[in-house]
Amino acid sequence: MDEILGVFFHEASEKLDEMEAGLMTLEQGGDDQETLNAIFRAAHTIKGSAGVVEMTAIEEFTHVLENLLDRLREGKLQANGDMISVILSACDHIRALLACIASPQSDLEAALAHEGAQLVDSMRAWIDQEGGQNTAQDGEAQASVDARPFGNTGTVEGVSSNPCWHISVRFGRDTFRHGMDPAAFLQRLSECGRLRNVATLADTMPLAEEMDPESCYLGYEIDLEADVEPVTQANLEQVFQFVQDECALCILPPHSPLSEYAALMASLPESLARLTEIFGQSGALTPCASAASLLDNILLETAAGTLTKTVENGPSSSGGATVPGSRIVAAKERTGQDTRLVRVPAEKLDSLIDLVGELVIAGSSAQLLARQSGDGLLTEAMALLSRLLEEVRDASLQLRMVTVGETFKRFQRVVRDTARETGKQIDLELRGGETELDKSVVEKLADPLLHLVRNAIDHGIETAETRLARGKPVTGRVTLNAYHDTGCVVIEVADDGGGLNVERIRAKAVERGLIDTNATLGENDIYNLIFEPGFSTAEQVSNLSGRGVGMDVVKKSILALRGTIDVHSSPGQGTRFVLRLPLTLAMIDGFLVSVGGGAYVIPLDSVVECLELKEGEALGNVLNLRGQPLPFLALRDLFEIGGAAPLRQNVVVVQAGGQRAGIVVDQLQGEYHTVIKPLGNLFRHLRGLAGSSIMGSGDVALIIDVPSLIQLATLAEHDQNAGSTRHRLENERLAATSNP
Amino acid sequence: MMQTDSLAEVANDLQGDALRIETEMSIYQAEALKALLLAAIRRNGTLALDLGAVTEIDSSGIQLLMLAWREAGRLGARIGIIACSDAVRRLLEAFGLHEMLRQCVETGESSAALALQTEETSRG
Repeated sequence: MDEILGVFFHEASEKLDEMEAGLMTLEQGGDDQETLNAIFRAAHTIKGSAGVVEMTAIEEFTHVLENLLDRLREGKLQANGDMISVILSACDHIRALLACIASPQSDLEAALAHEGAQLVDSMRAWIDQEGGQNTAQDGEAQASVDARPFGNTGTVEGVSSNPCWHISVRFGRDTFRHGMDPAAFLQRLSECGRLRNVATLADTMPLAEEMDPESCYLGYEIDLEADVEPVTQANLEQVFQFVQDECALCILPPHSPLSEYAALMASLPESLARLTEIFGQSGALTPCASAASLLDNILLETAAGTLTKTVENGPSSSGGATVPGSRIVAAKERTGQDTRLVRVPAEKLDSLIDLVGELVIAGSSAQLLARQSGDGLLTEAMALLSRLLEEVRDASLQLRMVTVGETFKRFQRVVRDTARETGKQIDLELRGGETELDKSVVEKLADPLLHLVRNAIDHGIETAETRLARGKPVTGRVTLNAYHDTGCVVIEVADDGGGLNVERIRAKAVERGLIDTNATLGENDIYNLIFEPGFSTAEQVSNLSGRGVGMDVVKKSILALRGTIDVHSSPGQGTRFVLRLPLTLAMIDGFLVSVGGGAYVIPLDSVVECLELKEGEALGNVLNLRGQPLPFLALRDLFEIGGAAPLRQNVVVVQAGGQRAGIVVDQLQGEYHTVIKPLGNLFRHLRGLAGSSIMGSGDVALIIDVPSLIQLATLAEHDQNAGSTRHRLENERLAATSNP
Repeated sequence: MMQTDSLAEVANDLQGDALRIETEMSIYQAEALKALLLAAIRRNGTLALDLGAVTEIDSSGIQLLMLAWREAGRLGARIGIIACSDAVRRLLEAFGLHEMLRQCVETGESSAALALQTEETSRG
């Protein structure tokens, strides 16, 4: 049961996403029929599945919602802003109900029930309004408003409540002779999902005397319930690929329109009464649109010539015909999106990547040995092997990559709601949605981004009057932008509002005791104060943000992702938050260096060049790099590694976030691919180290956190004193250990 | 036809009419099995099938059983499975033909023959 619930939760939340997306489109681009249908279908699916898992509260609520959507779909009602708001709230309500079921809280339940009742009232009001109009037009409609979930009588409308795939297949006469066994296909189908109802039909079998026992007269009507792993039309069609030329196959996705069932039934060789019995059992036809009424409809339509039961060319007689092509094409279009995607549980992916990680480590170790052995052929073979390993690693990491577009799109709703609440007019511009990021990063990014977007609208964008007075367009603009930059992904949240107010931030910081009254701070330093805990400049605590929890939490979560956050602002022009995030949390291409016998890995993306440290080039903490000053740090000093420096030291020039610095090391070991293992909890607060890695030899290499090292190096440059840097680091280390 | 027969009577009835199939029921035996089954139904109007020794069965075998059921229904004959092997049971269940198995609760060489199949269930 838990499994079914899991699937239900997942599906429902997906459908709700679809509904929201549809509603947003609706609001922006008028009412296009396809969008309305999609929204209706999503609601209908939620209702249907809620019924299956016996969540009556959701089922009943969604039923009302569905009724309203049905009116919209049929053009009996026109959607307006208020209605969309209510429908969006209804989506939220369903989400809340789901959350409540997932972790029951009695007080919440009461509140939800109240909220639900209100929403139902507002929706009913619209439904009745339509009903009233309708009664005026024709007397019979009103009574049936709530009673009929599907279409009108007389035509086959509405969709089936059957949550299963329906597979209808009639095998060709020669199936046995070709060495095929229908049982094998059933077996393969059962690997795609659970077979709910299997009806074996042999109605086309001739009288006993004429029956050829080596011919196949079998056909099946099957309901297949998708397991955890989703089923696509292509999956199912593939099962039958060996017999597709000689069997009549029709696959109907869950909740197919009843008209498709009707068309299917009309195309089958068995009698309608018999089919109705079978389809009735399978649950394809709900009690409301039960077999009898559907049968009537089919008969009507058949009589009207809309569906012609093709006995002559039907699958039964030829054994090779397929159901009308147009329907299959239509079904394909609908599921076309699914067929290109395979849903894989995250754990499977994680274990694959784990394995690949181990493989890469083992590969490095083998390559090391090969090189030591001096065997040319072996070295060559290992080189090829490690190149392939790299590709496998890249490809498997790619599996985890998702575009940030999905996350971005969610903000349309946020912007819309926030704009309504604040009474501002806001446009949301999304750019670089196709930029890919590790799924786990994207997930953890949603909340910080949400906060930044809300902040931008609430605090960033000025009120309409102010904007007019400043000569700006009334409609404010919030931009979400994503792009790649040297091995990391940059996400920008920008607004064209008033910008950060340096004076106010300063005053506030003084008031909060964050800085001294007469501290001299650069503009950037002042901006960065907003990331300090407990800092909030909103003069009036609004509903949206400004509760004083915020920017510091945002910063913390970005840092936890090994990312950085910066703020840029220009008065009157707007504010821009720049988030830099690693592509993936799992692995890096590294540059292996050693200092006093210890191994360190510098992320290769940040390495600019390597050079020898020559006497006289270094001056204090600054190096003369072709006439340019370059701040540098010696790892030996920084980590207080014992032993004398070798005669020749090397400098690795690294770059991050537009700044460069040199890292002085003993030896350069070359490129190195590795899996990042996090440092223990105890070392979480250590600066300068991003993680650890186990090398092929079994030794541990520490991974250098380049941005924080650069920061240290630049600080050291200001201090002109290596000792104070060390001191600073020491203090931080103490702070980290005393504050786990 | 015979809704009122008690289990005991049915079991007795069946003793003499049991048809024990001791080959596979695959496409290779289909021709022979068809003749055997039809002859058995026509001979005495009651057919108790003992499929306990059928180690292998494919769709053509099932198709023959469906034919036998239909034919029995047409002739008003009684038919039922009194014993069946795992293989037969598995395939019948996979095909959704639970009705055919209604008389056969035990797998293997069951001596406890149960109620007989009547016309109502003959359509599978």
